[in-house]
Amino acid sequence: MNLKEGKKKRYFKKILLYLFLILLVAAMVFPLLWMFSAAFKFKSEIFHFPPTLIPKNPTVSNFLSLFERFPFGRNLLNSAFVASSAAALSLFFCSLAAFSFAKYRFSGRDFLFLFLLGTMLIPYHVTLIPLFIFYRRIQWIDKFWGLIFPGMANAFGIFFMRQYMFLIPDELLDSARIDGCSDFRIFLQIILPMCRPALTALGVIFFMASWNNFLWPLIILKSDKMLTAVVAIRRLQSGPLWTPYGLIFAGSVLVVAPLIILFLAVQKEFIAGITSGAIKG
Amino acid sequence: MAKQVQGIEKESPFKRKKRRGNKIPYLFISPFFILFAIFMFYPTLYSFYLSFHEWNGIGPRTYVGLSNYAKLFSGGGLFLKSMTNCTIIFFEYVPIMTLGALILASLLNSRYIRLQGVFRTFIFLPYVTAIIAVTYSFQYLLDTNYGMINLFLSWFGIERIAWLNSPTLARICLSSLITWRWLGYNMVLFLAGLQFIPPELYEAAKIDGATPLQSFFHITIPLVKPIIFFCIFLSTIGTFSLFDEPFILTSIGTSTGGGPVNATLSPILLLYNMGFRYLRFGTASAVAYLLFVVLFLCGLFEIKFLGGKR
Amino acid sequence: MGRKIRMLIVTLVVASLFIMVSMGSVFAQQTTLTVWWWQHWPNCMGPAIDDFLEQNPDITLEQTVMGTGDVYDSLFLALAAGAGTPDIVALESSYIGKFVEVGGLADITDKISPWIDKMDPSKWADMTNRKGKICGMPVDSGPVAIWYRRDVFEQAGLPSDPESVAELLDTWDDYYEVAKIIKAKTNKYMLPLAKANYDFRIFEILLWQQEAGYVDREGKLNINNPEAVRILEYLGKFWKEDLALDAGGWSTGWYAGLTDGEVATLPEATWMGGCFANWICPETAGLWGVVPLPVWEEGGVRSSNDGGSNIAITAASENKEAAWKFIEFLFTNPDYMIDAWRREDWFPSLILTYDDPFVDEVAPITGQAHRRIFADAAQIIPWWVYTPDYAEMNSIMQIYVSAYALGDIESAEEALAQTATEITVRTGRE
Repeated sequence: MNLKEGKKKRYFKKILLYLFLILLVAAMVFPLLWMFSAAFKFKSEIFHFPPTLIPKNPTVSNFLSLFERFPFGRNLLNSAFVASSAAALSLFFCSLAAFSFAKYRFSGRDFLFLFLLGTMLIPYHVTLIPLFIFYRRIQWIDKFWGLIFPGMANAFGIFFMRQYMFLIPDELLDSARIDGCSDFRIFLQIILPMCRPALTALGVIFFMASWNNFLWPLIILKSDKMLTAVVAIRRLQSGPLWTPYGLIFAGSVLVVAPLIILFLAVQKEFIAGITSGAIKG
Repeated sequence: MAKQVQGIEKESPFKRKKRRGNKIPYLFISPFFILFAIFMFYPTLYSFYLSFHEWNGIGPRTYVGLSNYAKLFSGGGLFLKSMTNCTIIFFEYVPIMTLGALILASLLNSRYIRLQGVFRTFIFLPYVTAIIAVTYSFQYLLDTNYGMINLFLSWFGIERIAWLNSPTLARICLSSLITWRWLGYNMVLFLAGLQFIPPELYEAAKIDGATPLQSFFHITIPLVKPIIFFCIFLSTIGTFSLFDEPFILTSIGTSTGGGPVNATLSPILLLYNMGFRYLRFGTASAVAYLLFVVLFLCGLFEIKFLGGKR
Repeated sequence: MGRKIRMLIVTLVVASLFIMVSMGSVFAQQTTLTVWWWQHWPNCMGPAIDDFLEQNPDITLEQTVMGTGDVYDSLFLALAAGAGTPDIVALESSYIGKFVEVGGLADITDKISPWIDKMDPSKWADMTNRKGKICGMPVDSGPVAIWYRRDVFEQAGLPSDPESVAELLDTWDDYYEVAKIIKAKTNKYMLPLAKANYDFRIFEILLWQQEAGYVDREGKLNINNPEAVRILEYLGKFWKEDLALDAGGWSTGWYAGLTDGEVATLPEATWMGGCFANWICPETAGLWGVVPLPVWEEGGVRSSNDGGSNIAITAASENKEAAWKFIEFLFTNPDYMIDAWRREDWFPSLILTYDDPFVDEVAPITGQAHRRIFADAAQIIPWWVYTPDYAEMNSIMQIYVSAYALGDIESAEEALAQTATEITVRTGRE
């Protein structure tokens, strides 16, 4: 009898626990669903009480006008271009430096590496004003290079790749050297292919960071055609009009969807990537 | 891991051979240092210089001594205000979020729960969305007249609340948004840490008659302490460099972000307003410098603290 | 075969025409005017622009249409870079001062002198630089009156025709009494006036009605004057007694309040009519009425200003003559200005237009000839100035007035004293 009751109690507890988790998941997904549903609503339904989760008259007009009245397609391409080139270039330079730190011995190495770690403590916001002034002088305002270049000096990326490269046995490099490979070829043909999981993780992290970057592009990008997608979304809300939530959320869906797809595709590597800082760091 | 690294270093003929007079390793690391010099080091110095000047970006630059710093502390004390806001926000969300993430991680790590992967993915999902997008979503959810939150409350007979018009409530809304976005991220960090705790420990504790709660406090928490510190470290930096969320969430109608009554003004938002709305580059640089000093000290303190623990 | 030859001939003819046209334009010394402004301008001035280009074949126009904020951003960048400024730029009154101060706009005092007494006189202050030179041309003004909802007044058992309401709202004290009646009878608010997340433009309107704005005529800081304290205390009664809707300007709650008749009145500029009719609440056509501003004492001025915009030639422009020709052609011709007024409710600064019969036409949104009230008000607007520091002064005022509204600061005097101190610290204005 007692045993049965105890089992019942445990069962009850478990159900409560699942209920809690399901509620939590609902809370996590709800703002995204809300955004998704509003993207398909007319203005009259968006500004209507009580609000509805499922649009009564679903419409794609928000998406259409994003592309007809605004250069949003171009903005998405801009984001894709900036994010992928930022990721690719950062990956290249980070792994190159990491290779050097992990596999060579040279005087000042440890000091330089410590210095490099120390730079992570400088918040990049200190540079906003002076870089803006600098960009004005060299005419980099409203240009993509201004977004891509500063991110390439990334201490975290170097640290991350260095950790991974320690796992590559040196014998491999030695035999390559005996075969007459140059240092750079060793890097390109042996090191990089072996670091694929780490590169994937770091690449996705860089891509997402750049895709999501808001403050810096907000400051240096000016013309409608040059904006990245997130800044373009902000630009939709300008002037005293009803906040165009329909357009904003249509844009948001288009901005968020690639991120979620990318995440689901490389979930394992990505999570391994972001957690490496906590465990190894 | 560390041992393994040292082992490699000692045995490697590759390294021995490359030891002296080789320029290649310097060549490989030079891009970082060149980029650092141009995009970090020079601006950081220039920012320091600018913080003692008054300049609107067009007219002449005038040296004004410490007056930019004085400006930020006298009167309304905008810098202190922004730091206070962030401190309040920090205490509003960090304890709940960190503990919540740890509890969730323990739950999803145990074999007690099925479908762990599904739960984990969904809780992590907010982290891989665009901040701008979800901030607008929150703004609309919280809308006084047309928001879902007020509809929800109305089912319980609670009258409409103007969430973003009250300083206290607006900060709580901001904290909720941050928690929503970062809970899963912190949980994943803990999950990674928990995998290093051998399950035998829990089994032994169970045999000794410990309740799950007891083993949570006596096994889990002590063993993931470094990760707890790491999470708090990240949250500190994150909180004091908030920008996107307050910038969007509280820009309603003609009022720009940071309101009401500066309750959600963050240091970076202050910097942005000073520099790019009022064209006071000197004052903006002073904000940047003050923040830099605070964050740098925080960082050193935490590293020392963390380093000591290891 | 024949078709191919025909194609060839057509191509040749087109090509030679094209060459002739482009050569011709070289010979005629074509001037290209570049203009930056926002959507409203081409919408309002479309026909005028066409006429101008037709009558001046040697001038071509290159328009860049962007959001207001982007115009200022881009202009600032171009000025800072010393290159890429347009010839002509549109600026709101609240922003023109900043660009006058940094010397970005050309001195057009000589050219504009015949028009000085033909424009809304209150507009000049922000366009005049420290040497007394004028650097801009007023285009539209924002005279203020009271917009009110006839239906709400009726529900409260009050008269709703403009004559009676004007009598009812004779002084600001009367306005307050009516607010209490409306609250008691209908449980509706007298006006939207948020406690926070609001730029307090209504407060500014009341300040300027009494010539008691941020600074005095000498540019000295004056925000903590007794008149301003009295006005803020007056608004404080609406907050304390729950007579105002807590919704910031241009927020969703504000729109809803105006659309659903949750508020009985709105003291606001003439352009509000266009906003109601075109996009906020077209469905409320006929429900609105307009009466002149109440006064504080008998004999007070029933007028004030909110907003307004201007056009200017940049200091760096190489086509200043052509630019002035363009500006004079468009903005001093009453026919074009009335056309814009009719189509987009754009209230001209050009006084000449106020005598036009159009002003006395009944407008659908109010069912009365409300433009007459604004045209009368426009001619007696008291002196006001935004100054180059407006954006910053307004943001500081917001903080302390909000704190007063929320009860964090006890007295209006204290709130304004703190505003003044903070403005001095931040802008150096004494």
